[in-house]
Amino acid sequence: MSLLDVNNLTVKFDTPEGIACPVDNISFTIEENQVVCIVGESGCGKSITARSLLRIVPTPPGRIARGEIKFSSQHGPVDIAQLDSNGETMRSIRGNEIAMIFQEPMTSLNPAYTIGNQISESIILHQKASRREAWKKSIEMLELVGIPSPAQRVHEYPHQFSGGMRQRVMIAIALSCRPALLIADEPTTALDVTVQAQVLDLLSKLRQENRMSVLFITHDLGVVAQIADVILVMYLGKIVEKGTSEDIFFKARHPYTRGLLDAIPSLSATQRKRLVPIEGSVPSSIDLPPGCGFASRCHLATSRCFEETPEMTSVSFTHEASCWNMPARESGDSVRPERNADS
Amino acid sequence: MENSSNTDDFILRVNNLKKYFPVRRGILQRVINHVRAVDGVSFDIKRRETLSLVGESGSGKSTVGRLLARLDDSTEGSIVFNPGVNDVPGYSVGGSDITHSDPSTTKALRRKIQLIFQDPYSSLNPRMKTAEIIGEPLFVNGIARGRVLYDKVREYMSSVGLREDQMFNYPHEFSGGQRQRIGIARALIIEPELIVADEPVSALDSSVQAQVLNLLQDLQKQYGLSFLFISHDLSVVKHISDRIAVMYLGRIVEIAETDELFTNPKHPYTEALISVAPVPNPNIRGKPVILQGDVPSPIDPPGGCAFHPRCRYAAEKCKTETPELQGENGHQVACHFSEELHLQALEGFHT
Repeated sequence: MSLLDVNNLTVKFDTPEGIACPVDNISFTIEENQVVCIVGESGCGKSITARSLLRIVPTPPGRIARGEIKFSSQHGPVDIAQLDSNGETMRSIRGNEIAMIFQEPMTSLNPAYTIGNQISESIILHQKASRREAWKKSIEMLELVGIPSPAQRVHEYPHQFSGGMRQRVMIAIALSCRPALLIADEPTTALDVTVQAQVLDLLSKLRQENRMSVLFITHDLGVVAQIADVILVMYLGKIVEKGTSEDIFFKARHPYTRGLLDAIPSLSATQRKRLVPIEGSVPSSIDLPPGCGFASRCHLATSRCFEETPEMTSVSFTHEASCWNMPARESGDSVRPERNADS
Repeated sequence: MENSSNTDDFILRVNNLKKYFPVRRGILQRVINHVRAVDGVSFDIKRRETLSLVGESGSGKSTVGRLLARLDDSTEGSIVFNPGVNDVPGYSVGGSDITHSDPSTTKALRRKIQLIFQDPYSSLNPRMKTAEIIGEPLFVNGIARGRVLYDKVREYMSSVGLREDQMFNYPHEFSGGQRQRIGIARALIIEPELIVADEPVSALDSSVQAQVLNLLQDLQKQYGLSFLFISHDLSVVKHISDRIAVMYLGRIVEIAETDELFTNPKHPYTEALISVAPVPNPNIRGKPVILQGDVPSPIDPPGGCAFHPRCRYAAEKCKTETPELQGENGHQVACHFSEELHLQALEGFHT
């Protein structure tokens, strides 16, 4: 059985303007020791998906309208979607079996407590450890994430740490209870590239040592290419394509995935070609028109795309996409779908 | 930097530019130290060229941009605009040092040098309509008003890809990419010669980023503009620049033409930057050169070569002597060992 099995998850937000549906009927699984990446632009629902898994979506306005999140916890399988978000079971999973690190290392630490206090908090809470043991463990954790002279720095406050160091502290807190699943929501976006490389390197090292699964959320396809086993491409609350990184980077079938890949300037490009942007911008997720969400920006769209929503269709054993205009069979690597689709 | 070519080819020449920000403390606000944001930077920009400044946060790249546009006064050094031109009719700024220009010269200068900012959400006044925002430079400089101004606004709105019927909308009615287009139209409407673009696409989603990058390149051709492009994103910089200057702690450590920099990096910092830039191709998982530690504080930069505490090639000499930026054929580097090191170039890159 998979570590995490999400089925038909739908999250709705009741807003004054109408009901928004930032996560719309998505399904995916995370296996043990696997790195799953969710890629998408801002507003595609990737962060809400991650937060639903921990039940930290603010309710109201948000609510899980449908679907199940099956998680193989230490105490047997549970459906996180059915749990009370403040109940005992959920609290024993959150921060313990599933941990999360956030984008903003500047704001996710409490400025009024020492680093040691903040790391030991979750150890005391989840591991029934004494204060002294937790403090010792905190020093070990700081050492593990590569902070120099940890015994001394454990007494310091967040403002005495740089951005990269704070993200290391966040990782130390998240890993202190040896979670089975780590959710990383844009953990390196606020960091400089050289520090980003340090953090990614650290994460992959720790993941291998602890046999941990990672759900990694990012908009940066470059980072995805470095770390992902499985990639989920999201657009307007839906997963439009999923596959291994080979599938997504070399055999992408959905026009949005292809568009994203064409739109980014690549370091490895041999000559400077003109970028091919995706025209328009992401529509609002309130009162979406029927049909495929990408239709209004898609150069392959036919009248059917504006009427019927495409289902995820299997392309190969590992690869699925939801588009009406995909070629029926694999026609070779990086060949664009034909433009002469019936309209 | 000395170049044999005619000075007419250059739009801007910057020499030994420095900017120190005072650090004050205590009730008397005594100056106790300085942040050396820019610490001796020299470069020039050719006409119709895109020169990029790359570096991490705190490298001083944005401060250089602000100094060029005279938003900040420099502490030392000179900025010469239009070095080969002595008398441009109507402008007193040709050929002169603009580092400490008087207010009227500065105003004239701003017609020639315009800025595009990073954050399209905070750089537009939310109480002004699009037409007012875009037309304001014309109005302020007394170039046009009334119908002429609106005609001009319409012309520039269409050239940046905005619809005319959006003229009287407010900024909040636009998406991030569209707002950046408004910022670009506002910068271009008084026909500047040099655009300082400070991270113009960093706040945009990748699909929209491509639209704005293409637009900038088209406009550069159409209006014959020179660009100083400031960014931390190497793949964007590689795409758009003719030449690249790599900055570290207020200094340029390497400057070269784009392809030369990527195929033949000579500074260990450039090597590290190139190797850690994420490439969207799972088959290129190169050997990243992971630098230890963070960028040191520019208040108290390390002695000698400022990069030596993080450099894997650092020797004794690097701790004491500051290397000068030097080199031939437009490829200059500030490293004692640039000739001896064989640095790793961009993986999978062939010319």
